[in-house]
Amino acid sequence: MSFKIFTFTLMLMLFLSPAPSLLNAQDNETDTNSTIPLPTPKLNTILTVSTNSTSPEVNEKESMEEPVDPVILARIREQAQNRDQEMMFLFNNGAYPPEIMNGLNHAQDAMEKASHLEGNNTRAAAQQYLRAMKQYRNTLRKYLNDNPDFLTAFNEPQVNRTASDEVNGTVTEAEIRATRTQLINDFEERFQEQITAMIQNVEDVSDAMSPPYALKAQQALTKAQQKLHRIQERILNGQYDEALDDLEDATSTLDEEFNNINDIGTSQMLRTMNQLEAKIQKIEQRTEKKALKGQNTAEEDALLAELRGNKNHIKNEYKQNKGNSNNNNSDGNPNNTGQTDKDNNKGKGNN
Amino acid sequence: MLKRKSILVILIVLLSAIPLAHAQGDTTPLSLTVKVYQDGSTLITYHLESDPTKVRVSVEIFGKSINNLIIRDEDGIPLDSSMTETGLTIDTIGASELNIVYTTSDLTTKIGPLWDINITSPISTMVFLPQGAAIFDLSDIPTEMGNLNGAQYIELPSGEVYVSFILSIPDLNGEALTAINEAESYLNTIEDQGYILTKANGELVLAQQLFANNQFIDAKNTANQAKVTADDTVETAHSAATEIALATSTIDEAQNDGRTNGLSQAQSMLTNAEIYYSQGLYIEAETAAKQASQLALTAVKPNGGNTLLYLGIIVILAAAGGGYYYMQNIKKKKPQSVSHLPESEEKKVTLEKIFNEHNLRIEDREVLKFLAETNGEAFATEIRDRFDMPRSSAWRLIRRLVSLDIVEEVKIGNQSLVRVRDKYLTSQN
Repeated sequence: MSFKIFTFTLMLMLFLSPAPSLLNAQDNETDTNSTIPLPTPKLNTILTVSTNSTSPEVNEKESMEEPVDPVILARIREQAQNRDQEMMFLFNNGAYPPEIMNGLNHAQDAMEKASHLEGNNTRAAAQQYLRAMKQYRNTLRKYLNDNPDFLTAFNEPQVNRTASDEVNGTVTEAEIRATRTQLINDFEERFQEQITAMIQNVEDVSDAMSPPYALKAQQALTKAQQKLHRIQERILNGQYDEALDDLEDATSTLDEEFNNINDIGTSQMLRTMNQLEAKIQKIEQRTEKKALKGQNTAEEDALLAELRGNKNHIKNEYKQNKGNSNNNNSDGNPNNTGQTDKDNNKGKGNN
Repeated sequence: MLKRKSILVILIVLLSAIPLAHAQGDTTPLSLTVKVYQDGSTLITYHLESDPTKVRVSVEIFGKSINNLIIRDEDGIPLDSSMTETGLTIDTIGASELNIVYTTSDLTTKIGPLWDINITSPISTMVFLPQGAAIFDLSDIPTEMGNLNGAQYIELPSGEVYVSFILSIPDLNGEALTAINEAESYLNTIEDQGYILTKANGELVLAQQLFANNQFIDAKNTANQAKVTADDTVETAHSAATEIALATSTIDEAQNDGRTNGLSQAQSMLTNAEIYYSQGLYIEAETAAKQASQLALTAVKPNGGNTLLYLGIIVILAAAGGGYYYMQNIKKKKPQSVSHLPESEEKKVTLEKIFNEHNLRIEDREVLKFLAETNGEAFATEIRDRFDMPRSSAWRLIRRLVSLDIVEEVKIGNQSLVRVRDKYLTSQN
């Protein structure tokens, strides 16, 4: 009996564990579109939920046969040819053990193959050049291992610069402390604005949202608002470390509660919207500061317009999708709606 | 029972294989640059996108032991962080981008002259190699490759990023040629001083032949050996010259002592030594000179003789007496102040000391030997006459000995008296 319980527990863990890692794996793959990437200027072009994804296998196959840029191929060839010449100089009298001679011969064969392949298959040619270099390296390593005296031929230049010399300046603990206080103040202010905006966003899409989910979202936001009061008090009392811990708790809890809504589409829309709002608040804050200094804010204005456009797009798409799905589930049972929402979302992802 | 165990093992293995990377979910890598330096240290510049709703994020970094860490947000504001087992926890406080810069030596390894840099990267990685690095292996076909200020850069796809390189591929051809040219020049300089470098020149010719056969390492080593051989030859030549000088003075002593029996053999051996020396056979010259000295030392006075021999001796003595009288007359004309020793005092030149202290030419040695025979001093005209030397050559030779502080030159009327310095003179009385 206990074995069954243990096995069941392990299977449950196994079943649950991949969920976040899979989600994150998708985060890193720009080609997959089941999650919405973060709303930064660089990635704004892929913010919309696209459906025409290509399977990784197809991509991999395509890249295998993709020709190599002629400039890159020329550089690889140049490197391989240089190694070929250098090895000819190093091993010039021909009286070497068979394994060394074999290594050199294999490398030269690869060089020849690469040269023949250049006209037909640049990728294969590049791979042969790399193979030749690897052969030379292995042969040289073997020879040096057996003939340590030969090492004297390699005189490394004197070290004139190390990585530490390259580091531009240092940041003191005091500097970090000073800016941290300001960052916490700014974040608290933005978080407050973000919650307010999110309450409005939930209100905007509440018609399309199942009532229990709308309620859950509103409750999560209200809870965050309450936590903010305590955070404000801490900041006023100069308890910045504690304020930061509380902010972490508040933001994580809000994210978790959105994540716990038993409908992938709604959960994802809320989280994405939350991220967009955070970004919008941040840029608004930056715009304000720049404007106060009399600096040009055209770049920020354009970015804000783009982010707000994205926000509206997500809202509208959600309303449209959920509207359709709700019409198909007209019995009004929230449990059924949840199930249908999930199915609906899955279908959308695979389109 | 066995089946149950197998199921359990499989489940545990599956669980342990689940990546714990979900902490990375709050960030997305944008770019990674690894700059490698000659000592194997690396400068990492990691640019990430961060979730602006987060206050803290975890970031996996490359290398365990890191230094000079600086993290800034998109506005360049420095951020606080702490090290964890898997990387860093950064107080992003709403940052949407992170710039992480640090140094580490954990990413490179070296076997012999071969350097390897190896990282597992979630994003395509730009690797900058040190100046002069010769690439020997790459993890994949680069997506970008070029040269910036003499340093090569390579952009490699995500995953196992690997570059193998050597910092100094020996230019054996160039090194051998340089060694040959240097040896040639070195040997010429020594030959200009009058030495004959038969063996060293032979080695230089061999080095040139090896070079022509593309045997660059052997050519380089042989050329360097030629220089060593030349130095050895010079040393042997010095020893030979010293032995010849010693043999000369030993024969002179024997002559003066009247130990003439066997002296002709010594003289003949000394001549051989001088011939060997002039031919550059310094070892043979040294051996012959030593034998000459030995023969001179073992020479003995004759027991008796015939009338003719006595007559000959009387004639020689008379001639020597006449010569001595002549010399004495000349010396009487010299002012008293020029000589530190009383007129009557006999002076002996310590040739051995001079030859040991100075690396002299053959003609310089011969003149000094002549001065030793003439009580340590002689007029410049006497030296010219003795060696049948043009005035300019004699002048240069004397200047050379004066500059070495071996002799001094004193003007007596229109004549120039060359005298060995007191430090090289010993009193005979």
